[in-house]
Amino acid sequence: MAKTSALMAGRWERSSEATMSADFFQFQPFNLPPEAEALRADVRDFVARELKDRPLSELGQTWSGSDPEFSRKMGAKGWIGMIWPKRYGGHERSSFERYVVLEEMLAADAPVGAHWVADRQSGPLLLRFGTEEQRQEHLPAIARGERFFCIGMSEPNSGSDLASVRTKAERVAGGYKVNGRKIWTSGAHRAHFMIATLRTQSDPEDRHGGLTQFLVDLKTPGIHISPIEDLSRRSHFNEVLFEDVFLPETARVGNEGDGWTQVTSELAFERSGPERFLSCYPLFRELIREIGPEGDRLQRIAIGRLTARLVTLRRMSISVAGMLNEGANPALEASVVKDQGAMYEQSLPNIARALVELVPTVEGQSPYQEILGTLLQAVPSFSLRGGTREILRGIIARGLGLR
Amino acid sequence: MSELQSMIFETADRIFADHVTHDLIAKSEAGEAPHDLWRDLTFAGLPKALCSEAAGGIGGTWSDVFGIIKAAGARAVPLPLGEIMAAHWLAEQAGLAVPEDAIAVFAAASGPEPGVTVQISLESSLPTHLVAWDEAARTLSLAVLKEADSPRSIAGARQLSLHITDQEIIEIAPLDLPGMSPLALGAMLRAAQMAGAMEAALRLSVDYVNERVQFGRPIGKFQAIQQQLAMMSGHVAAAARAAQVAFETNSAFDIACAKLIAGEAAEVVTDVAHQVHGAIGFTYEYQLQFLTRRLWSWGSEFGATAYWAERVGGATLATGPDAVWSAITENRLVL
Ligand SMILES: Cc1cc2nc3c(=O)[nH]c(=O)nc-3n(C[C@H](O)[C@H](O)[C@H](O)COP(=O)(O)OP(=O)(O)OC[C@H]3O[C@@H](n4cnc5c(N)ncnc54)[C@H](O)[C@@H]3O)c2cc1C
Repeated sequence: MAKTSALMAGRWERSSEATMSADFFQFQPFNLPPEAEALRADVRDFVARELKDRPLSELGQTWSGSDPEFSRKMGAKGWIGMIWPKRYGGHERSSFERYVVLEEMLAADAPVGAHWVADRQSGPLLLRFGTEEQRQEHLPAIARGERFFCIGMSEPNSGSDLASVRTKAERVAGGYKVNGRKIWTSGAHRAHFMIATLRTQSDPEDRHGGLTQFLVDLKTPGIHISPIEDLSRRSHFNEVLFEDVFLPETARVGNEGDGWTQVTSELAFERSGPERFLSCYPLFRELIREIGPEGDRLQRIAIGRLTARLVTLRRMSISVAGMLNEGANPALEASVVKDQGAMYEQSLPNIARALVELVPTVEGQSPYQEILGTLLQAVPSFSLRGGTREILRGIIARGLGLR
Repeated sequence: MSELQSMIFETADRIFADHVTHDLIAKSEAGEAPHDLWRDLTFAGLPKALCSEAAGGIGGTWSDVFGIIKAAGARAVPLPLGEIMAAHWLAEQAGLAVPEDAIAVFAAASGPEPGVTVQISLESSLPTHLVAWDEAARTLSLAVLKEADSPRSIAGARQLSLHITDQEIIEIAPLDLPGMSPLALGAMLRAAQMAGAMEAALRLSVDYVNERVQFGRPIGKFQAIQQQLAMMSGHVAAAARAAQVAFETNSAFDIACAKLIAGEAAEVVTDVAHQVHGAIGFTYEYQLQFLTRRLWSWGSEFGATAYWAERVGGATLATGPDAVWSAITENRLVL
């Protein structure tokens, strides 16, 4: 034991001191303030009115479900671009107020997919890095719920290794000529614009420095959008082909070569929201309905675990929102919530099946079976989209000081 | 942290750091009382941190002492500081006078029958008195703690199961704390201790994998190790946040969630922490076991994971599908 003692000498004292002085994460204890809570009743009335008598086939899709008319109505209510400056059509509300609207929409299974990306990340990206002209041109239209965006990051040979994108934007007179292919582009078929991350320089030594972001009008000649059916035969995502597509100088977002920095800041928005643990809420609700007011012991235990995880994830997510509101950069905490949220959501359909023996259906009869059928087929993507489980854990490991 | 919070936290943590060594914990587990540690904690007024200044206390809230209870868990402090604080807190509310030289611990009598068995998990041979909160009888009893032959938990704590009527009772007073229960109070303490122990196990693991070299590099450079620790750290963060909320609101529902989240997290944390440590983590001489054995034991004390899960689940189902969401957002779910 002499050797092991030497190896361990002092570790206890040292490491516990470190524990006390340096927590790995900062989940500060934020609560939603009263002015945010004040919005809730209005949002609930709105969704109750707008979403009654929906067909079963639309249930369980939450932010993958899309309804441009619903988006316009939300825009009219002032619930898109909520935290942006008024001069860009925003409403100068707090992140907490926005949080309340988002979580109410998700809990109600509202079809918010059309404007989701523009509100969550394209708009904020333009606010930070866009030109004044770009902001004036797009932000008010986004906030009205009339202009939809999609994210052009992934390519056939560029998934997790985003810095390897190849779709090329070559300088030509007055702008750029684009050739290549984006894939898995959610909502491209109904979006008006894409924020595309493209290669403007092919220096193999500087993969990151050769990337630039562009605002692409999807009506530009040379762009071909073809839907890809997912495993359930729904077409949410697409392949987007660029053939000699001309983009004017004014389409560039930020400086040439700044694409990598910009895209990483965009990912922080992409990963931090309540959609990372509330996409399955409708199933939880219907599961409770199927079990009834008492349930047996096994059902109560399983439901209790799910409730506690949901409540805790929500508290963690609200503290991320609070840190964002104060201008902090909780990228690490956001990754933790997304990873924990995906585990929770991916376990839910299987737990439901263990508790209530009803076959998951499509074109079924009960909301429970229909939502179960939809989500059972959807949850594998929750640890892929927005950064895979392994990539997120790599980010967290870096935060722990392991990389 | 508020000024009061950081002041008492720093005081407590310094005392823990000065006293709580491998040797001290090992001796305590073998039945020796940590008198010097106790003397310093008493001198700093920590046992009465939750009592009013009029009663000789610091006037803190549970939220103010959260960091201390968590740190006590992180350092495996070998005496029941949380239960001692709780005893003084309850005694003041019921108007019971704890004798000056007594070391009193809170004990929970939560069965359906009044006046019956109290369960105590005693980390040390220091305590001399009991402050037993009987839920059914709505009373608080101050009694002399009589040595009893008792089994030890895997964390080395004596598991006393006493009939309060067999004890030498000094005083009984009525006590009713709406929204709180003896079991919930104990569970709240354990949730914080567990959160602390898990943070410490994470830190210990990260430090270890950054030092331990195999195949020519620190094992922390291997992705398989990184991924496991990253996943584990999410559970640690969840348990810490849930416990903090329980100390802020003191609601039985939030406490139940915190204890059950801690219990679930501890299953992952004990598993991964031991895995990344290899054989050395499996020795008594290495410190990880002080944390993991306590995590296993604490998970079963004051209501195990399944107990609290069933209570939370029962409350959820009774609330019903269409009211659950608003109950969550308005903090209206009650046990
Ligand atoms: C429903 C859905 C919607 C999407 N929407 C969009 C969109 O709108 N816009 C867009 O740009 N993209 C979108 N994506 C693409 C998504 O961002 C990618 O799927 C994701 O980045 C992973 O890339 P990949 O699919 O090529 O998998 P790969 O990167 O090939 O990964 C395959 C597996 O290998 C693992 N892996 C890869 N690299 C490593 C490594 N270094 N270490 C350990 N493991 C590794 C991954 O974690 C994964 O498990 C969407 C995807 C889905 C499923």
